[in-house]
Amino acid sequence: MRKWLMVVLLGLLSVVMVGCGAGIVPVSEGRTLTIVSGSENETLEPIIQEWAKNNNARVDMTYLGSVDISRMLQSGAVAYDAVWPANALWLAFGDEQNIVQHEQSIMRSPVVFAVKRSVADRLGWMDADVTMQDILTATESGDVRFMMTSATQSNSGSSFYFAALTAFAAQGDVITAESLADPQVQTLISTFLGTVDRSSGSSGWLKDLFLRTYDLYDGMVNYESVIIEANLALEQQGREALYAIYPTDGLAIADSPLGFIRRGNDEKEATFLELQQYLLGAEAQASLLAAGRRTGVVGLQVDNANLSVFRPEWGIDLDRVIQPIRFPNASVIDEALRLYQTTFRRPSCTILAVDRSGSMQGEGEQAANAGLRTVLNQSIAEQYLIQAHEEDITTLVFFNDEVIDVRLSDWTVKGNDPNELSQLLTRAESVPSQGGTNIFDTALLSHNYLTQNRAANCLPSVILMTDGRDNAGDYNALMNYLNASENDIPIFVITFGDSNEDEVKPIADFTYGRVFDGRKDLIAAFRNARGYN
Amino acid sequence: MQFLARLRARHYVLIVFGVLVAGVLGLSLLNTVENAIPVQTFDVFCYIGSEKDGFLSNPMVKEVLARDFGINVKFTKMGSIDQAFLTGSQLQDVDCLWPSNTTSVEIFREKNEALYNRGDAKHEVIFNTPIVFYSWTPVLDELIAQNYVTQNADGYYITDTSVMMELIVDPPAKWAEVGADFLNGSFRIVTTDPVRSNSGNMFYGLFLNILNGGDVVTDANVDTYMPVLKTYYDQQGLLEESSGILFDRFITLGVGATPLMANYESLIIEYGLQNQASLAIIQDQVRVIYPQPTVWSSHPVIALSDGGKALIEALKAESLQKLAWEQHGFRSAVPGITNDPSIFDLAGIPAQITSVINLPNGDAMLKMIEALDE
Repeated sequence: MRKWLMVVLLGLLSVVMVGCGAGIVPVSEGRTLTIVSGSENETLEPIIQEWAKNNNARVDMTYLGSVDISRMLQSGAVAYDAVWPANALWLAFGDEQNIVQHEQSIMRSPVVFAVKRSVADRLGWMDADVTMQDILTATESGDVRFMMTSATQSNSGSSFYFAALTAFAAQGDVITAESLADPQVQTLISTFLGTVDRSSGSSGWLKDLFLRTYDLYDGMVNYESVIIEANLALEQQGREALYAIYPTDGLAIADSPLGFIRRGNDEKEATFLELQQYLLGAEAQASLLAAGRRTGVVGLQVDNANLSVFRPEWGIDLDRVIQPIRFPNASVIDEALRLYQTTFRRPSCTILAVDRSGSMQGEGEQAANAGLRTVLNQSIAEQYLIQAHEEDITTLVFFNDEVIDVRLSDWTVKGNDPNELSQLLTRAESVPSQGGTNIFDTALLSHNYLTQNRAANCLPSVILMTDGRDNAGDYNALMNYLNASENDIPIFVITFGDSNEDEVKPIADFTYGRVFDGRKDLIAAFRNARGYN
Repeated sequence: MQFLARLRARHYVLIVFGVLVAGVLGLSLLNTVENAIPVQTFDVFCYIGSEKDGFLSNPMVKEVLARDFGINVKFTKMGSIDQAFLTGSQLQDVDCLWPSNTTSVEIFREKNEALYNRGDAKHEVIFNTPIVFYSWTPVLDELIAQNYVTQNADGYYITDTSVMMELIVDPPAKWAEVGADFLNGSFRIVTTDPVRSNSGNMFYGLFLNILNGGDVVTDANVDTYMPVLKTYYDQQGLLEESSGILFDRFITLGVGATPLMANYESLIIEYGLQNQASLAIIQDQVRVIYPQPTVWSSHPVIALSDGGKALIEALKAESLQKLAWEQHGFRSAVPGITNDPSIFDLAGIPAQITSVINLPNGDAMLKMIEALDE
């Protein structure tokens, strides 16, 4: 009897403890939120996790490009409870089925062109009105080497691309299908994009890359808030800060709308609204302001701005009337993104090096082939806006103990003819998997081939996919070679299966590339890596 | 501790149990008190335009409806035009529709005449709110200097709608030409997407009437003006689909993003009440301009059952009409009830809207939507 009573009481006690939110027991489904967010919010995650901890909730954040979030909304299949892209544009463009509810802007940040202070000074850009044409003149003459994310993968790149188009084509009005077809506009935008020295699929990663390659570049396109973050880091390193330029005839603002995907779970909806109200409340807004986000309620003004964050000597200008561009309608946006990818952007010379060792047999090989298909089959590539440019050069390399066929020119397609690319894919699918793994010699050979054969105007890169550890190559030879090289070709590595990130990360790091984890989703990793080039 | 140590285990267990039971009882008692409604209520289910969400979710409104009328309104948000096209089985278990214009009633009635003939359906306009222009002091100062806008004797701003529309007809004036040389590009009046949202739709209806020399356009002559309308529409790019979100973006992104906007008058009143902290800045920088003539956004309830009819009667009560004005900015459509703007901390809201023109008829508005959407 007493035992029975104890069991009941223990049960009751545990129920009460859940109610008290002691955090010992798992959080209920209704108190769990999954949020897919633009990468620029990654540095803000502690603010959200702090809220979750204090409110007996759980928040799982996933970071994707805003354009990816938009595509996901278009498909209607959103496997998250909430979306948080960088710009409301991506909701208006993507949410055709009206599945986003309770949309509210959490903070604002303009997308600026930032250059080192001494460069801004030399160009006479400090405290001056700078137009998009001024920027084009400077980058075209080689005065400014800069980075910008891909317009089809990331909101900051996309914002600046549409801002430049608006300046070149519409002088403050809205671009149209006709302006995109205007040869003069095409020349201006292609010339400008042709001066981009380094691209990426993520604004946050671009900032990190800029800090690592500080001596090689003069500036980057990014959010005002990210420029502030970069400058705070540069200050710690004792390096010269960046100076933000707000082009007078073309500028876009990221307004970070957080919206809910309703599926009939009222408790979840209440949890979402609680989080949203918290983020819009005084405490969180103060934290966001301290992180360089504009949080004033009215008209981009910043109440009580901390001038050690929003520093005038960094060009940060809170008083300027910012007239953001108006985005065109959905069909013109589609066409502009397609043209960016196939015609306007700087072409890329890419080597895709794919592991065909014995361990890849079966599922691994199938997944790698599916990844290649996503990149090479132009109708699939188009869905993800990673289709080839008319001047792209794409080369495939397969390896096991050694490079399977060293005649790389036989595995190269110039341009974006869908038939040629799909023939390349068909040949690739017939290369069998067997033998060992030689990552290092493959990387060396690919890098060297690109160095010898790259076109002058292209952005070169090697994307190497492997499922294992090197057991045949020479690491030291690779590193010695890279050390002696110009080191201006990044090596991106996609890991899969048993591959050892510790082994490949030094190569990616040294060449200013990136490691993509393909273990969860190899196809997505191929897509992401492709989007960086 | 000594006290606890003296207790035998069984007692200890019983005390814990007692505390638990008391706690659980206490909690459930609290819940009951909180949810207590002294009268029996019945549910009334409606499809509503999203701008009435705030009103129907207001605890004071819910309380009056329950206490004085025994009504508990349940609702799902739906655009006015979508409501207008509901018919047959889609109306099963629906007690009322509450769109934001009379065009929807007209369309609905045409498709569901039998319901009206049987006496099952009836409608009545509950609230009105005019379409107004919103701007910012730096822009307004220039518009006043150039005589596009004047401040009348009662202290609110008015503009001749036909003069404003002249500025947007192709080729549109440049901002610099109306004095606002700190803005690039063409003068424009930002609206929601007229194909998908009511406030934008009404602005385009007003635009049609002005093009017709200030006379109400009908389905017989709407085609004449569509090319002008379509050109303007195509120059606007991507438009917001929700009046509330457009208003929020107007506020947060400032004068550069939206120098001039057409939207519901009620939005600024509701916003001001919900954002007391930023009211001073709003008061300092945001301006409401009353176009003459304007159009009413009417909020007619279409009752489809006895519950719906009871709701119509309830909503006409002075107590609810007062809450609608004072907390949500909806003007009363009930004869004899006046709206006093002096209760707001916002200047420049007139007591009465005097210059109003009817919207084009339902068929003309449908033709307009179709032509814009092409």
